[in-house]
Amino acid sequence: MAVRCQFEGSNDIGVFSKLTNAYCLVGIGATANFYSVFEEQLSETIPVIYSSIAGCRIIGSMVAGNRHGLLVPSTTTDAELQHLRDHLPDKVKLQRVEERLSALGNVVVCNDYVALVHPDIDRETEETIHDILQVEVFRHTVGNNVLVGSYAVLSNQGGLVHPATPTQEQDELSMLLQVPLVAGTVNRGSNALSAGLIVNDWAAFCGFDTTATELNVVESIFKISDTPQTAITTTMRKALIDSLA
Amino acid sequence: MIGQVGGQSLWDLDAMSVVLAGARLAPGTAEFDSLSTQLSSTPSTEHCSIGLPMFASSKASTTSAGAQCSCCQVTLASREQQVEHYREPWHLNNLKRATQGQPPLTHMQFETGHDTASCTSSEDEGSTADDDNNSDNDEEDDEGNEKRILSKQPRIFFLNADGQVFSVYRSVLLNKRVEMSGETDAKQRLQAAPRKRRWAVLLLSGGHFAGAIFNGEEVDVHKTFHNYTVRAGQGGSQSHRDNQSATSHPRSSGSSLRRYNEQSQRQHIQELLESWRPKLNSCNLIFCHTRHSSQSALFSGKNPILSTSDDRIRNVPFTTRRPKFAEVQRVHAALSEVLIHGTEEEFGEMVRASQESKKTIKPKLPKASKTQRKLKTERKKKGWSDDEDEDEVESEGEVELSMEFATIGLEAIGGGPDCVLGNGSDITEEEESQEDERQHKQEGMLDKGGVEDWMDNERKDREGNRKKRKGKKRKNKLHTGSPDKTRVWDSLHKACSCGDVKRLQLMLRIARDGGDETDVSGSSLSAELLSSIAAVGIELNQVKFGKKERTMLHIAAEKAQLKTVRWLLENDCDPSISDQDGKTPYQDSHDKDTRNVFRRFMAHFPDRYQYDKANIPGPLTQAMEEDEAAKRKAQKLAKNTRKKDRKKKEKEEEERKLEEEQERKRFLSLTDREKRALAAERRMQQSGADTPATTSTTTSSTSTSYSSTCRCFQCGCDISTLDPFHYNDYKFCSTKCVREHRTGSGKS
Repeated sequence: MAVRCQFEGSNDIGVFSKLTNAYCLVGIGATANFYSVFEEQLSETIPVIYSSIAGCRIIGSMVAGNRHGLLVPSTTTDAELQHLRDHLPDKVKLQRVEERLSALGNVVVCNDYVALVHPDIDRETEETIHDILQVEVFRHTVGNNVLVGSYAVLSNQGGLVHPATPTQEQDELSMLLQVPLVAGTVNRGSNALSAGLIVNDWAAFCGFDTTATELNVVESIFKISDTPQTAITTTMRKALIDSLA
Repeated sequence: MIGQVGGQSLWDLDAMSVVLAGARLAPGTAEFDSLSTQLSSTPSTEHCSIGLPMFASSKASTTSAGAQCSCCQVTLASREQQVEHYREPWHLNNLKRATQGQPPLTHMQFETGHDTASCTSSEDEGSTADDDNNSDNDEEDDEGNEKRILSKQPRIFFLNADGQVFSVYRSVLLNKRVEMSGETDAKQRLQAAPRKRRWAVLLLSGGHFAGAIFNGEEVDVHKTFHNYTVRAGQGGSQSHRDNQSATSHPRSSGSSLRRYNEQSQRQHIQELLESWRPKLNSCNLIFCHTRHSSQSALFSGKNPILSTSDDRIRNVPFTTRRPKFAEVQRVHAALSEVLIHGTEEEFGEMVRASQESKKTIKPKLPKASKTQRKLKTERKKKGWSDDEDEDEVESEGEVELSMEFATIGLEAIGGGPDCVLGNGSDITEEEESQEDERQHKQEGMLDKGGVEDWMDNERKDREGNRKKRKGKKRKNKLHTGSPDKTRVWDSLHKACSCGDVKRLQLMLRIARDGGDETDVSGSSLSAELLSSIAAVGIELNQVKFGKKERTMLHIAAEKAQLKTVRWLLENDCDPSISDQDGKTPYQDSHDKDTRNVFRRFMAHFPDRYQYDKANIPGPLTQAMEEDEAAKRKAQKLAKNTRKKDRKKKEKEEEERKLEEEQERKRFLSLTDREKRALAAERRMQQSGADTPATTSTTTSSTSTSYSSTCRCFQCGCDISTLDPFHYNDYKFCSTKCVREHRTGSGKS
């Protein structure tokens, strides 16, 4: 079940947090409400870490990572880096990257196997992403937007892309990424997907404005659901399709 | 640049009627290409018609297994292929184009247009460069790729009814801002050109103005004048300098003079143009060549005669020299010349050669066969072109350059008698550097002239020419004057400066007694040199190089050739001869070692030369040198010991600090009570100073060494020398520590 939440009245929760299969980073807020939502859902399995990047709370836009590693921009202070290193699991590599496009969260979208990056990203950064996150890296756009990190959300189960992405491009991308993709929105029609939605392989968090329909799309494409698969999609499916045909 | 087999004046109407008959654009040029493609379908639609069906069919057949790249419009069989494709520079370039809303390139177009993989790099300028390349590419036809296409030239090439390719300057036919609308337009303009006989040529640069109005070949009116406006020394016009810094306008008398002159020149020009107004109005074409900054002199005023929007205004598509009447005539003649490039095949050959020459250094210009030069015989001699130019006319650019070379060459060779006699290498270098400067200036001019890439070839040519010419020049210099002497002295100079003692010995021996057989035959000396030595002989003290009349000793000493110096001294080369600056070889020595050679020699042969005249201070004997060495050794030793001591001290200091630090930590780890007890103990110890030594040793051993000093209760630093701050029984080094201690204790 995807969870709706809010960061100090803002629905752009993806800006203030980063969720992967190995850790969850949460921006430091004035109250612990936001943090406790994640703690409640995740703390049994992965560490939920308060953090900041260059003194800012917008960590979701600034960092890129998966279960293998975490990349932080060059603006990260040493203290913040040390803090992250102390709290991240030992298996997760941590690296600071010198990249002109310092909002890594906006220019990189990745799961544990493959990453799409902004076409103008540095060659060195591309190599770093490949080495630290252990992914195949492709320079690409999503629906003619270069900010792939902002307009696509990806997990190992599936992905959600910008609503203006043509179906043909979706097909290409899903072949490239090897996961099913769907175009959609969050937060009642917002196309800034990564701002409104964070996912890993078993949990998803959406902005408070996300409609039920949007939530349903998210749950189905990322395969997040508490209830066991209903009969209508498993056993009955064959019979239904048969009879329809 | 494209070679040609002949040239025709545009005003020779009979010849023109032959040449221009049935003219159409020559294939293989940029114009032909752009205009012919305009006539047929545009390339972009063609791509679509090819691309789309292919794409559609692939989708139908291989939806399950294959994928497409919508960005590059290709089908990809498997994911492996897809991954590979997504890493290709071609794909990345298309991706970038797609984000900029441009149509994708086919692989072919990309390969032909991009030899540099700039698109893969993440730089922003990469994308702009791509755009430029691509816009060129778009004009090209796919099938046209095999045939090489001449890039845009300052001339437009036509093919006439006789199958001859000829060319005229683009600016003769159309204005810079105007593009040809089609082939028929080009033809019309060309046919009309010979009848547009009234041309005006106005040149203005660096305070020089030259203008003339021509009717065909005849000059109708002309006028030149010069004002002092260019800043002497720095160059550039005064107003340009003033504009560079908004605040500080130099107030020198020269600057105000130049400012005034600029104003008056502008007025002059405008008055002149006003007086020419009726004639200018009847002109068919007006060629203006001026810097952008001084354009206002021609195009502005109360009621300007010329306006920049006038279709008759054309620019001069090559570099011009100082505006003078001769230059105006030359420009006019060059502009009105129709160059003939032989048959279409020959022209194709030339295009290929010129394109290859872009890769190699020098373009190979095919020689036209004599039979095809029938037009050349008809060619009229122009007033401006003498015979030498006639031979060298290959392209406008080259004519200019070769003429410029000629002027430089004359100056360089006529360097005066002393530069011929004095074979000092320094003089040659000076000249070379001067020449280099000239070259740079020329290149600068060319760049400013706005004449584009076709100049590249010329530049390369020039590079080649320059090298050749340099060699020639040097030869010239050596052969004038007395060649034997120059040759021998040259050889001596070389030997001295590179310390070739053997060669010197050999030359001297040959000069004195003719040398024996082995000397002559086994030597590396050339036969010429040997004969020269025999003719001139060598008198070491008479050999003087260059303007400064430096001796061989000067040269050797300056180059720090110790052995040569010694040898020269031994062979009666007088060190007391000074050069024109009044410097002796000793004073010219490069370093102390060289100077010591002189002094040592003085010690050995105290009476041989006039050492005081040679400015050699005194002899340097063996004993003195040993003394010196011993002294230096002692100094070094002392220095080493000092260094060691210092290091030792530093180490001790460090250890002491470390100890102190440890003690401090130990002290800090104690509780306040213990600290107090310690302090009390210490007090007692101090008060009972007369207690037996045994007790003091026991206390110090039991309470360990930290009892020896009085410490701050908060930070643990030593306060035995200070007057401590008290509160209760605690002692502190500073109020800060007091405060910290109080707040700390208050909390706990």
